[in-house]
Amino acid sequence: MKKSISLRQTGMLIVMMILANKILLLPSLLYKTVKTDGVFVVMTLFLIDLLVFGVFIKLKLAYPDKKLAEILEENLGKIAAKLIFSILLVFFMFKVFLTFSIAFMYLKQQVYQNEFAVIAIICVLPVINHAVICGLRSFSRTIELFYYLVVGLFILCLMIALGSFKQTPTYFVSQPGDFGMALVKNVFSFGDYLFLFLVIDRIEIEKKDVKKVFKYIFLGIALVVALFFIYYSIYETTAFMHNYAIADILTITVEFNAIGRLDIVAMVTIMLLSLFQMEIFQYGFCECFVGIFKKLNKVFAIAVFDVLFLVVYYILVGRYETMVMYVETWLPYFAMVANYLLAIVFFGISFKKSGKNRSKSSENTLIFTKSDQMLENEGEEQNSLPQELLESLKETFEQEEPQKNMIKSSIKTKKAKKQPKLLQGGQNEIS
Amino acid sequence: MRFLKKVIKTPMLLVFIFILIFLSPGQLVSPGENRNRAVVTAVGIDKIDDQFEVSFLTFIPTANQTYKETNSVISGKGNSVGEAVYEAELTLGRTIGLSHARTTVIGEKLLAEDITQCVDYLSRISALPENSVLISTNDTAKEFLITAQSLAPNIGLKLEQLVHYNAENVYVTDTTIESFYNGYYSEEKASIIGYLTVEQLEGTPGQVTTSQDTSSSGGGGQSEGGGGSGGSGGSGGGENSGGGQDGPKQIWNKGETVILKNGKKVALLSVDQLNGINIINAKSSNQTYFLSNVNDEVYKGADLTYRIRNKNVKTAVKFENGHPIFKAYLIVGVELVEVNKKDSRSEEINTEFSKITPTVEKLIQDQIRKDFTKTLTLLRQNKTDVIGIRQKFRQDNRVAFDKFIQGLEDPEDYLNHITFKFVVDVQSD
Repeated sequence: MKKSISLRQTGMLIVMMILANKILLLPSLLYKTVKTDGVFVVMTLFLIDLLVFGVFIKLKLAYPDKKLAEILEENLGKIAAKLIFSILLVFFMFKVFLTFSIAFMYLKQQVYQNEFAVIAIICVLPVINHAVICGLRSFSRTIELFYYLVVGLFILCLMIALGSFKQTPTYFVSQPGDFGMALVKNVFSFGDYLFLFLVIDRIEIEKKDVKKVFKYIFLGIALVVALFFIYYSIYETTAFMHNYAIADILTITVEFNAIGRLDIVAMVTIMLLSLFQMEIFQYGFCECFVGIFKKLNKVFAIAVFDVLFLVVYYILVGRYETMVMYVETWLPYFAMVANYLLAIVFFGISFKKSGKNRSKSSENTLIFTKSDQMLENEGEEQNSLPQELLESLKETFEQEEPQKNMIKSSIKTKKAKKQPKLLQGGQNEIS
Repeated sequence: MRFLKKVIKTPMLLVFIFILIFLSPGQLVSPGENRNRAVVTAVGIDKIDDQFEVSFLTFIPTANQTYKETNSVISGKGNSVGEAVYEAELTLGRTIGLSHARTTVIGEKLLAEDITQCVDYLSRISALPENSVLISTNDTAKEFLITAQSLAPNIGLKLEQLVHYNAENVYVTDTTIESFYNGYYSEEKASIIGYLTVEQLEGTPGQVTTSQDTSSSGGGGQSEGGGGSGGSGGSGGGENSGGGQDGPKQIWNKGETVILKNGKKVALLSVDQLNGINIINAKSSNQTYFLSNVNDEVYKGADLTYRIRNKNVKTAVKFENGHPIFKAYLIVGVELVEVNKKDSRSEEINTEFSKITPTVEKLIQDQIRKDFTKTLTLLRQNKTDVIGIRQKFRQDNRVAFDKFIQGLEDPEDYLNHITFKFVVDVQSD
């Protein structure tokens, strides 16, 4: 059975990941540090993340069919590979914790005021476990099914919020130091493309398709940035009091009271998004787990995740405030290692591979150039041969030309594309 | 059997059944929400002897055929608002649900202090700050709520309707808790909230109006509202409160507003002064202008009343030699709504005479300017910028404005150093 996901599904996964951890608490957290300049912090971090996506594309083109574990072991050795998987495992585990924490806190405030986390965990864990067991292709198809609904609801939220749009807030109010600090402190909410590295072998993407993926990326970024703009325009001075941006922008003022409460739109959006994001992050966790313990399968990984979730989350980080504190204190530094340092490592690997390919292709080029040169020289020698023999040789070369082209196409390197020109040049000289 | 096989093959179905079995019965047997929760439609906060007193105008949903609501005022005291709410809950025997609290009333005494200390509790309740209009009163908030109970049975008006009418037609600006905070945390530190007065009805001392559907109850379950000979209304009783000890009281809506700076009251604006500010607010209209004894080619000694029907406001700011200038260009469409002529019949009540004569135009222009200048003087005296002048300058030229502010002895006194230029064009609607 085909286990890879299509380009379209990849794009949709990316949109889900871009919207993760940024549409509820982040605008408020950023406001505390840099006021309305939070929108520029987000844009900067998106730009940095795009570089990580670039690294992913480079690695994917260098290793089209290999798993991440294979790539890492081939280039860095088994221990380093396990270390990288361990870092990613912790990264994805805390991503699930954060996503769950914020969504649960939001729902607790809005609906389930008397409920406690265990009930929410009981409702969420089986669903995400099931999605992970079914596999990447399966939950990607589910996301594909709900994608237009989720994005549509998100856009609807933004459009309703435009009714409460007051005025363009004053931007560029923060100090450079604060801006830099905000960049560092909020890295954990990003790292949207790390998941793609884990499923690198199951994504159908070629160089020509990259532009199509960018359409999804820019859509995701545009949605988040638009949310930030609208949110800060509505709550210019009180943004720190509103921790659920996408929902708070819908809490329209008494002027529109007749319409009633529309936060149900945000609620559905948040619930669907949180569920999909947790599925993605848990899948990431399980992939890392299997990458570390190769003899154990995914079911075991899910069991470990569930136990960890119940133990670590419920006992250690179960309180929303603790989770937010982690997000602002040590997790950003960890995320910097996971997102940027690993991206540099992956870039190094892909660069090394490209170097190898380049040297391989240059060897090939050398062979062809040599043969052409030989043919050329032979041609010069042949000039001294009788005209009849020359004609017969010419015919022979013309017959051999298709075979040469076949050799050319068999070499799958970037340089191989340039090869025909060299050959052609040689042939022209011959002919 | 087939179903079982299907269930076993579909693990998610098992989860669904598990949730149904373990979580649904609890919800099915639990009592209705209204048994445990009181729906609060208005909150009043006072400070008495260093203690907060929080009063709730509650609506208790009960099945009846008269469409009348059962309202009561419950209050509690405590060192903090949270503590007072807890005491009120004990009195009421229900959890207090504030999601429907559309009005928050602050007592007169609290206005002398920073009111954030009393609205902080409410600001933490989801969606409440955006949906609850913040108003203040000349009496205690509790007295206000008790008086507000009689609005519905007596004149068929609910407090929230009155408050929302003011918000949309008189203040023409957002006066919710959220907008209070917006002003409070802005650089101007100024906000504007509504003000409704509670006054005793003249000529009816000691009289108590009664109603079957209203009751009031104070902290610890004691009656507070029924004054005079009205007797005591228990928390579930049926006595009304039309007023306090001295007789029935009534809420008067004079269109007044309070300007708060750093959360404290600095000025009380009359409706005319408020209209003075709102003249540069494009959304506000319907203000009336009374012109006394107009004499010109059309009107001979007539008293005219004009109403603003539409308005076009253009504002611009600029710096001339480092001095800030605020320019406003107003095109006001007015309609003649009344002509009173003392010495002869009012023949001018004819649409063809409704045109704006140069004299009328000048008189309206003068009055608009006068109103604006009056209010501006008040704002300058109190150093409160509730019109958003600072923001307009900062958005236009932040560097120049910051430089201008730095050059002032008192940076908060910037309104006094800004030149206002006002052009009013009065047109017939």
